[in-house]
Amino acid sequence: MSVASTAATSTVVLPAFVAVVGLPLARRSPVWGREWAVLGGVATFAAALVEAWAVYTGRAAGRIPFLGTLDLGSVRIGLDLRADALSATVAVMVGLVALCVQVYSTAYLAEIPDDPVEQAPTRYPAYAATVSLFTAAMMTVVHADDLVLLLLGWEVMGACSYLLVGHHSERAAARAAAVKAFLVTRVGDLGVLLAVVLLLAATGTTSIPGVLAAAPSLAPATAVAAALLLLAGVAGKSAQFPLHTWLPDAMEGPTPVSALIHAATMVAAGVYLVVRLLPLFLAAPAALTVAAVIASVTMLGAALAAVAQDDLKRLLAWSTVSQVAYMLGGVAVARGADAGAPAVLHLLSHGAFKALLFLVAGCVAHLVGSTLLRDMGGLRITHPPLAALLAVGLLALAGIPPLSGFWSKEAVLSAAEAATDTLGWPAQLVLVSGLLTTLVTGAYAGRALAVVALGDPPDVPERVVPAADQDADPDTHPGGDEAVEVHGQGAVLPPAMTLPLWALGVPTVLLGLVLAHPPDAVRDVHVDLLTAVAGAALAIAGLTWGLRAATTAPHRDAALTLPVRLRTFLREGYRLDEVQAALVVRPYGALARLVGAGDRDVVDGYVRAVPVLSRWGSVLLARAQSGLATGYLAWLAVGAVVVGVVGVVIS
Amino acid sequence: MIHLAGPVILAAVLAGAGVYGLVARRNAVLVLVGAELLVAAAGVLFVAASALPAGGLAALERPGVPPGSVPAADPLLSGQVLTVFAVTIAAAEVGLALAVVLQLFRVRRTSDLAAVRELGEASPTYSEDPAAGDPLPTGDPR
Repeated sequence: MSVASTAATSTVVLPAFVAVVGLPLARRSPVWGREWAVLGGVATFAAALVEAWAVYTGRAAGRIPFLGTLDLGSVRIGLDLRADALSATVAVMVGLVALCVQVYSTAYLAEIPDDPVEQAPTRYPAYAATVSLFTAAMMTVVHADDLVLLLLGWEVMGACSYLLVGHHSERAAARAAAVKAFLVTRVGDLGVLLAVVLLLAATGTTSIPGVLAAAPSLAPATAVAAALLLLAGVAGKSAQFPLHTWLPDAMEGPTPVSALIHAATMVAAGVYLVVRLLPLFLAAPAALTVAAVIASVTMLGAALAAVAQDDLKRLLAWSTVSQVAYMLGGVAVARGADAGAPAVLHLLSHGAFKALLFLVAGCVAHLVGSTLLRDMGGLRITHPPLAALLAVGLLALAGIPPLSGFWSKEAVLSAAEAATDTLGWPAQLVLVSGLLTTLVTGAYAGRALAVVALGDPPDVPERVVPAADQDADPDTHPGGDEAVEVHGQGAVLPPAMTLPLWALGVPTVLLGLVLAHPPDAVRDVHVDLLTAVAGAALAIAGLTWGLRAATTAPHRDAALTLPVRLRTFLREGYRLDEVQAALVVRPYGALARLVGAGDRDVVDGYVRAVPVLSRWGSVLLARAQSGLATGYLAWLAVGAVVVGVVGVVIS
Repeated sequence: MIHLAGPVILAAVLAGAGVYGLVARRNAVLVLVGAELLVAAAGVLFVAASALPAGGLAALERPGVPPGSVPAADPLLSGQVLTVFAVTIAAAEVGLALAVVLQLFRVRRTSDLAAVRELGEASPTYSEDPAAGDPLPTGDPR
């Protein structure tokens, strides 16, 4: 086996092994459990680095035997891995974020003795094992050379996401969010499953190179159907309109989970799938047009919703939805098999800066004891390094040069601009929506910076107890003002929580340098000067609007200058949850009640009729028990006659 | 050789009288007599049937076969043996039944079956505990 194939296999096997061994180990010894989980993260990251080194020195490998061959009689499915530039590059990002999250979690989920807020156990062993298993699943998706293997990782990822979002299962909101995340992504996953079946029927193989080679010769209708079904899965996993509703609610999970799953890896998996199967999508231009529309709607809509959030984690969640839409927009305007590069670059830079932002948000929540923006402030005075990291992350998110987000975002916009000649209105839509979103992104980034970092520290001398927090100020913050995750409050940040921030800060700042010597995965990335200047100017304009509120607006919150009704409308995500409830949840609930009534009144009715009928029958038969012996004998004689008649008739 | 009609008619008369005794009479002894008549009717039919040759009635009515030349079906005479067996059992049964009737008469001073209906759930005199509502001497009535 070559170096690349060994390393690629290791990235999948190591975290899975760590998960299986780590669960009993951490239950027995918490200290060793932490060491083991972090060690697993280090090993996975190292394997990804080795793989990248091997791939970029020209030793890429396909068809690496992994789980053997599935012989289904008419078709043989080789559950193989591959190690190429794309998978190696994404694997490094996944490994880095997973490592940072594992290190961070050792402190974030540490048991806090005598803590009135964190009364529930943190259940670290199960948590760390699930994170490791999740990493293994993501690595499977990244390295899969076969659609069935990819689907396997895809589903395991969904299951782990359910477990991690619902980690604080003592909270009803966390349980509801976990179920919602699972069900909504499941709707999309069904599309992926059907697409795999369709492609298997149409091409006779599920090997990704085989499918892609057969893609140009597919019937147009088949290609469009498969691509649209895949797109449904992408919309589910990547939280794109209209299946995005699970992501803001998923912030009920622990903050490191949000960094790992809902920023850097799982939502990126959808876009990764499109990039990986880009030739198939190119064979179905209609699907790419749909993707462009979805991306345009999602990026602007989610950014506007982010502006009005009053919870830092929910703000970041909506910005994730918006930024992933950038990636989808980047591939939607692609017109060549290698044209996924801008999207991949944005995937990498977003993975870095969004993981950084979530981990910073976790630190802030750790310090303040709440994730609500109104409880925050003055971070610049109390914790200057943390404020600097927050600023770096938010500026990268807004796309301010020379940070990583600027290069990747402008690469996407430039690709859209370059495609307007050949593609027409979908590319223009992505371009216009992208530029507008840049403005809005700057606005909410500036707003978050102004609220969290500037001003004076809020005078919250006592820690906020969740029960009291729920009734606080119902007038000024009507509805939806509960912190999504309440976490212990501490004055000092342990090193395990600050070191990952710096590790993620480096790529956040410096990722743009790769464009000097672009590796294979992000080759063909061009940043158009005019688009870049326009994008940066819009971002700065938005940022200024957000930051200016630090001196003019109440609570330094620019969103408070918006009309109340508009703000509420945006904060509740356009009330799409209500639409969803009316269109899907309530009819489904009615159907469930109907089925329940059918089960109770029809199916169970037969069972319940048995004793009733038995009772009636016994009452009827009891009348024959007259106590008169000759009466019984008369019945006996009648019975004998009947038996005799029957015997004669039958013979 | 007698005609088959004789025993069959006799059995029918006996069975009819037995059923009448069972159904219409109230006196326990007469009901018992009816039952014995039924047993006797069955015994007559057994004996008559065992005298038939192999192949039953059809073998007798076959043309060209002289009467008396057809061998009996069963050299072991199982019909007669079974009847003797049934008579023996009936004797034992009558002993038991008469003992029950005698005990009934000692307790209730009657052998009318219509007067002892307390055990029937649908009877007008039904009671869960027949002894409670009808105090009678439990010792030796003599």
